[in-house]
Amino acid sequence: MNHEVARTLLDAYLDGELALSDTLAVEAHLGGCDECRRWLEDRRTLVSRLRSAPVAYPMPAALERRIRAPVVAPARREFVATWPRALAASLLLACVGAWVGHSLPLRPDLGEALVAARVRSTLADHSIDVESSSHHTVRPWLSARLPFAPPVPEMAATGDALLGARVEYLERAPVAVLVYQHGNHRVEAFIWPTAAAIGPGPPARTIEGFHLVATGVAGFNAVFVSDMATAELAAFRDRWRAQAGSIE
Amino acid sequence: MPGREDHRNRWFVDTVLPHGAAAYNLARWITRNDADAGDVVQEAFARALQYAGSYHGGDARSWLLSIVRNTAFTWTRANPGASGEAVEDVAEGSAPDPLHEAASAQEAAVLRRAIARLPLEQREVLVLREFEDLAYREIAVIVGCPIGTVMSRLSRARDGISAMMRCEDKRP
Repeated sequence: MNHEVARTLLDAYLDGELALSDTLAVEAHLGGCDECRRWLEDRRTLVSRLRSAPVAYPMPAALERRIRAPVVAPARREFVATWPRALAASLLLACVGAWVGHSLPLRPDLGEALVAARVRSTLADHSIDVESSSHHTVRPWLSARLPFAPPVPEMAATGDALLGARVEYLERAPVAVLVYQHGNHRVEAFIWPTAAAIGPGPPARTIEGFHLVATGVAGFNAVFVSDMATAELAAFRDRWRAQAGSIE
Repeated sequence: MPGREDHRNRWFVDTVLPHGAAAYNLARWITRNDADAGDVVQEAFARALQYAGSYHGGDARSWLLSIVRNTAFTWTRANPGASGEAVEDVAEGSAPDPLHEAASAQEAAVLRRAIARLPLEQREVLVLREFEDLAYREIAVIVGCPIGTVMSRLSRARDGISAMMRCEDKRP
């Protein structure tokens, strides 16, 4: 191996990155080349200086806390930050509980988790995992992540827009969440399968700006949560139900 | 049975979060600025959680560092003014660590200045090699170039540092 070639391989030699044949060739050259030996020693010193001085930047503690926050006890964190809403949410629990308590294979306090999920998605500005207005995209995405495939009405025909969907795990039970836009309002539809679907339209509930309406359709229960006026939300629910029924 | 989100979160805490220091260091060296590095890392971790499904085993650190790098470059393109050769603010960023000897802190400050002057493509390779101790093969995957390119960029980076340190060492 000539001097020029050996020289280009010395960094990789120092890093232990050479194949055995090249390693042996470089060593043979080093045995007879003072210049390359000195060069290699200088290089070794430089690398050692880089690695022993506190050159790397340590992560600030505040940043570490920020990146941990989303995965460590998120519900508690957000409820602490928004206790007035949490209060509203706990009041809503009673209402939703009446719908979901008897008819679902879920714990009666699902309602709390459901409303918390709605509040959380707003605060975290993360309401959609799959962004699409097409049920051809949304439904397979959901069924790949859930043990069921919920109805996904697109609603475009009636002037509402399907924005996308996400999956929530509420009380360890999977729930599909469809996100719609109606005018300036967002409507989230929480949907899960049930052996005993509730009626087409139990009375709506309204607490502190959040409105909830529910319906049962073809083996599923759905609860719609929005800040849109109750009558409008109920009308949305009825349109949704009609279209969900027709695509089943 | 815990839900999938529980599984994902536990995987994230056990497998991804431990590489936060590596993520921050890389972001800091690409952006050369504390505040921007913080934004990049936060965005990168959000992406990592969102794209958890794209992790198919293997080295979680390399996977995360690829995301950090992509996030940082997206950020650099969106903030072209901040991606200039911001050599001067590097010295400010290297506040002496009271736990280390003053000489060691000074040595670190000098080395940091030298590294910050390297072109970005050499700088990132050097950082991944010297501070994360990654193999050429792993660096090649993260940076998205052939192993031979990693080798030559690393050599040029060390040449550059070496030349700059010779000047520094001659100072009184």
